[in-house]
Amino acid sequence: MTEPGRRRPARVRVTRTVPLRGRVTSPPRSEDVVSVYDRSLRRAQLRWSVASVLVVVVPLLLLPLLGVLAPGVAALPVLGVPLAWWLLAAAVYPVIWLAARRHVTGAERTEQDYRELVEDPARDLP
Amino acid sequence: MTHAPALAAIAVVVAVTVLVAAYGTRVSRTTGDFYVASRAVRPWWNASAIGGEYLSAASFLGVAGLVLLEGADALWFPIGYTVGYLLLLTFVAAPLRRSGAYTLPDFAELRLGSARARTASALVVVVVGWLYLLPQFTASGLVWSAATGLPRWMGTMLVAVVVCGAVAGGGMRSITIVQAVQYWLKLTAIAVPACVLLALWGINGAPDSQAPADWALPSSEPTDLYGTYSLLLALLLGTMGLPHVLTRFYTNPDGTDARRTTRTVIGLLGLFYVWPPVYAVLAWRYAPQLAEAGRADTLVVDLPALAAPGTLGVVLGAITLGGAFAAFLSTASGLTVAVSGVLARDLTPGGTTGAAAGAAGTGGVGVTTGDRRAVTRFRLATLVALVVPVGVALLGVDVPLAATVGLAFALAASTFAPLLLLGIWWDGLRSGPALAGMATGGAAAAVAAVLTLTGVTARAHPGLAEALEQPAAWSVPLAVAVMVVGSLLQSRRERFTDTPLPAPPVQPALLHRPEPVSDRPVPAVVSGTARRRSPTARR
Repeated sequence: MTEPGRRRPARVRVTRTVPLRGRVTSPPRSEDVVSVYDRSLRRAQLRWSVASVLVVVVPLLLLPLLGVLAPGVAALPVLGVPLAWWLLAAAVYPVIWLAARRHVTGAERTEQDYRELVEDPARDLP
Repeated sequence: MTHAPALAAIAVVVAVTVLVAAYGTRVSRTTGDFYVASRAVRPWWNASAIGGEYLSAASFLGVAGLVLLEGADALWFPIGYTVGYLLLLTFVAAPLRRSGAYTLPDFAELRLGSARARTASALVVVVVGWLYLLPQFTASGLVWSAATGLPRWMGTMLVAVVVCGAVAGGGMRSITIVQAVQYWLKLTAIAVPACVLLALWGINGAPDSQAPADWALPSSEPTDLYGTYSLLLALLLGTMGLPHVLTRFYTNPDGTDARRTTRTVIGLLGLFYVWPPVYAVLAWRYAPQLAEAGRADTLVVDLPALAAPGTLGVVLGAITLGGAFAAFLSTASGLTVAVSGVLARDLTPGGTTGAAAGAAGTGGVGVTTGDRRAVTRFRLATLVALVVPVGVALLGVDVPLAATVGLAFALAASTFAPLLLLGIWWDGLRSGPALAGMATGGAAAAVAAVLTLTGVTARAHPGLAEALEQPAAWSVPLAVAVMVVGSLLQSRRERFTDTPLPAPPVQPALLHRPEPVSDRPVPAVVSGTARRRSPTARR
């Protein structure tokens, strides 16, 4: 900060300043705090989040259709209880939990990659 | 005295709550303690506390009653309540915690850089909170009078007084311990009687009464699909907008822990939600007379005495009754903390100064004058937060319980969910359009609720009534559209007129930065259930 007053200091908790490599293509207003790495981290996390949600929600949204399109299948008795009940009252919960676990592992791995990249930006370059 | 077991069960739950809260009060002294338990709550405790807080009267009693009345279609309610946490986990938990905000209004101000956004969010928090508190107090009166034969107001007042004492006494830190204990209390209280009743069925067989044939099957009417999908959307998105749930996330030490906490919550909720449908199935066998609108709501409490013989049935009934009171107490406490936090900090002048002094410190080391003033303010706000819903409950206004909770979810889904999702993941969101979107979504959900509750549209336009009963499917996209289109138009105008853009105090892209390596031990890259965290290096 050679010229105090010219540039507003960032009020964001910055843990580490990152040398900018290349050109920042995103909006120019935040190039001093938000790096290319931050943007790609967010993109990666967003993709992973959408994937984790779709894995659960798409089959879930198809279940009401099952009742409408194939009432016979939904009523199929398994151990005296209709299949729809096994799916809706029991099976969904372990599936949701496993998806959540998988998501956390993946998200933490992405963050670990980010940390390594920020610490040693040259490592991944040829 | 036939009501002795019921009174004893309630007394035990209240005593446990008061004792645990008293313990919490002793260790809780700074502002940080009051609002966010000094951000030092470990994932396992925090997850139990979130579970304890979230499983309300609607989950403990309402789900079983709805399944009894509506059959397989009502199974969507607990699914929606659980998947809501998956959305919270994937899109909100970690970045929200990393934003460093205290409450939802804090986030709105940090992200949008506008004090108006803070006030508007605070108002929505209070409305959603009161809508959700009201059924807790009404249901506690109902269940109390059904179980003990005493007047309703006593049950409502009992819950109100205990909640007031626990919240005003120890704030968030004390409540965290209370709620964590109450999750396990509730799980035991619903699972153990269900297992005993199922075992009795296996040994003795059951009376041969049958549910109607279409009860056990999901709806095969294509027209019901809209209702199911819209309900799911409201529950999925509404969960992330519930103020008492979000406030809990600020009590995590960091973003990584926020995520792990949410993962554990999903497991705990699943563990609980398999039980309510069991009661509905048992009720068709043992007590089909419960399957009518007025009685189904207290099915979980009434069934054991009808299904099991003699003393065993009475004891099992007392256990589920205790669980129901644990549900009233914990949910009402969590909501009261959230509402009074907002009342004390955001909706009264000068609220942020005293609190900010304590907010800066994360440890419970020193107690400053600012702390003391902020704590007094918080205690006064607790009274205000409780007076309105308790008053309405005591007046005996006949509020449909499920509809009120549904309205709270629809309102949260139409206001906070778009704000959080766009605010965290999209740089382009601007303050003005964000406020307009929240107002549009909130107004749409509220108008739909009023029209439904008064029954105006049901008479005039039966087709329209369906759309208004479950408004989320159109009110949420409406709110999102207003936010996105408004922000795009504004940024085009700014580019055209070359106005410099004011940067928000918090850059959305930075909310995703993990905590620095030095702050927390690195998780191993391998997946597995083993503890991936070294015991050292905790703050």
